[in-house]
Amino acid sequence: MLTPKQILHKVLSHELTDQIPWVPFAGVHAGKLFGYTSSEVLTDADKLFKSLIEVNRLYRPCGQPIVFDLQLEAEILGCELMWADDGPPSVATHPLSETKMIPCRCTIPQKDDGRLPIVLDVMSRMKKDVGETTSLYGLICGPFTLASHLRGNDIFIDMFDDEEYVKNLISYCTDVAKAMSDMYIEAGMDVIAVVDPLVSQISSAHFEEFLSPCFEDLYSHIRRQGVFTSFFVCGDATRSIEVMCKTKPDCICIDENVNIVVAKEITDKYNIVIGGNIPLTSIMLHGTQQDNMKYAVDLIDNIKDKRNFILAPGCDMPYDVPVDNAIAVSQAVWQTESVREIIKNYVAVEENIDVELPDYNNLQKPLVEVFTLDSATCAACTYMMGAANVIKNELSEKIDLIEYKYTKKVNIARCKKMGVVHLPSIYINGRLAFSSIIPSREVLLDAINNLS
Amino acid sequence: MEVILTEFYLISGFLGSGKTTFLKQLISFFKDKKVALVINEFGKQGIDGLLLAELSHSMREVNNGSIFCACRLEQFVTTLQELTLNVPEIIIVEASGLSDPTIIKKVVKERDVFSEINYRGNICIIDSKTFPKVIKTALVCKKQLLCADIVLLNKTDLVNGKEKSEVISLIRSEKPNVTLFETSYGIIPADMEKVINVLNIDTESVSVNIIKDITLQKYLLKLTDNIDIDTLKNFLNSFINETYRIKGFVKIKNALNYVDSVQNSLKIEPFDGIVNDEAVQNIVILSGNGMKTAEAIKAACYKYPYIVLSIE
Repeated sequence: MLTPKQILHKVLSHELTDQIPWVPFAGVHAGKLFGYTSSEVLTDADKLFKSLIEVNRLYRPCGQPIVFDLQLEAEILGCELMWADDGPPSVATHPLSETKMIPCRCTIPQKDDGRLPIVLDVMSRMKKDVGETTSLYGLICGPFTLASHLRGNDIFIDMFDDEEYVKNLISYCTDVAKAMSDMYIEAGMDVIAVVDPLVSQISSAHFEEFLSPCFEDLYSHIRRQGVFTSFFVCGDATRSIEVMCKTKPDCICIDENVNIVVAKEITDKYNIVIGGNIPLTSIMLHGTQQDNMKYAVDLIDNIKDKRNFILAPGCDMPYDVPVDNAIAVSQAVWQTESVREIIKNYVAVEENIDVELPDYNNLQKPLVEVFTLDSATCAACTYMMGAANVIKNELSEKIDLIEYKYTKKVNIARCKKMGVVHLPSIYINGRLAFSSIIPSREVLLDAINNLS
Repeated sequence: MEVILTEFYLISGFLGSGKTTFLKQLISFFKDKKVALVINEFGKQGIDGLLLAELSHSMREVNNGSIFCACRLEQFVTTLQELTLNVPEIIIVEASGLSDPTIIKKVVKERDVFSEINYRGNICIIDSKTFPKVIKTALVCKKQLLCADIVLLNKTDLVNGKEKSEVISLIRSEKPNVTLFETSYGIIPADMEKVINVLNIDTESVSVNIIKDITLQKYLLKLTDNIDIDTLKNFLNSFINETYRIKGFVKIKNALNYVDSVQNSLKIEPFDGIVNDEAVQNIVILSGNGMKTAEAIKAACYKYPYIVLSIE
């Protein structure tokens, strides 16, 4: 009988298996299993190790990440972080926001830097304890998201005004990603996941111009060392799935913003594995056990060609996901037939929360509404919110700005009523202005000014 | 048999704080002992190394093209191992002004290969005048202070009583119990013995979270041989505001001069030591967070078109 790890590796090698593999992305959520805060689990090797072992025991994964923290590299490179108890930290300052330069290659992270000693230690311990049966994921911050962390929101202006600078900065960030991969591979990781959520926030033309060569180079660098590669993106990356495939990762992981059935037709064309995309908040965080079982079974059933498919949450699981919900997904994976039987008559109960929308036709001043997963924890949302904040700081009392985080039930209801399809999005006076494209200062300013 | 351990002193501090001046006094304090020096500088142009070359029994530089010392760690370790073969009584390391010395402290204290070394402590030199400004812009500045066993508050002659109290409060807010001595021109008012004895205590264990300062910038200008002092001053002053430090040797009318600027104050003074030909007419410029150095140098080169032969 195959071990869970062997099942996953067969799928990553594009072979047909009887069993669908499952990879729960339990980042800071792992800490919740013992009541540790996010900051505890990301700064204390013993607590992290203990939590990951519990994830392994309870959720029976084929693969699991060690840490899901896209700010780890940014912190080493001088970004100040804002820590939260129930989510990964977010980047609060950008060292290159005032100094438009390319950092010296000598600043590329090394084993002793930042929190790397903790991460590398836990990677080795996990390899020793569960590495035989579980495939271990080393997650690195993708070059574009790292470049955004270092430069801040101005990178979206630089992409138009100073292409050369952006290319050079992304090249530096790619070298950082290579160095991180090398350290993680040495510590025993089986899969290197390049997590670049901001990729979904640019056009496919910009992807090809700025990112394609770097990603292709990075994946080939990792593959040469005999481990698998996975390309994580969140947000509505539909338009970029094809160009992502062309960079030749072994796998692409997407969230609920992308229709996985449609996306799989593209990834299958390139013989690339696709992973995803259980909704993080509406199902995993707020749903019931039955909701989770039903979603997982339906998803498995909707995938016609079972090759090249991994069942996974859309991204890093929210901290407060009820343990029972993740176990429910695990059961749906390992005992699909019996779970299908359990939920065959189950109809999800829709919660009716009444939300009052503003009177958009009679506003006193422009109203900018930003719909996010959570700008404090999701990098794409951070920069979408950042773009809106830049304008708010400039226009001050002349506009109203509000963020609706999808992590709250009342905001899920608001999204439904407004017809919000993709996160993050910006609505101006009730109309969709930007969906999964982070606008530069000028473009957003124009959109507001054009109202009058 | 009693094993005599080599005493190890680390000198740190931001660019231009007065490390080299202090180092010269420390070496003369140990004049009857066998002293080995390690100088960590930026790039191939070891200017401090040239200034210190004659003062100790053996001196090594950890340079070789890289700016910040943490990335030359293995080279530093090798250098230190080589030095210990000659069993010096004292090893003094001057960390670069842009480096985080924490890593040096950690290596010397924790690596088994240095069991014959007695780590005495890290003396951090702080410039009273510029510290309040640089701690806000340069990430390493705070790291240097946090890793200090002793602080020498230097250049107290350049600040008034109120400014001095403020800088002391600033230091105490970051590192409340650090032993602090006040100095001017790097000269210890009491005797050096008193300072050194403070370091007899076992220094605290090292807990590090190494963070890089990616905003640090370095430029090397190769200047023409045909230059007069006024033009050189005007040229350098035109971008001095966008730098932390300017250093180098320039020959003007066949006489060698040492060029040095710290925080906008430029000095060009005759130098009677011996300098390698390669180092002459080279100016090293260091800058960091928020400084538009490249643009400022470019504008200066435009205004004074025949001075600079090349920029690296």
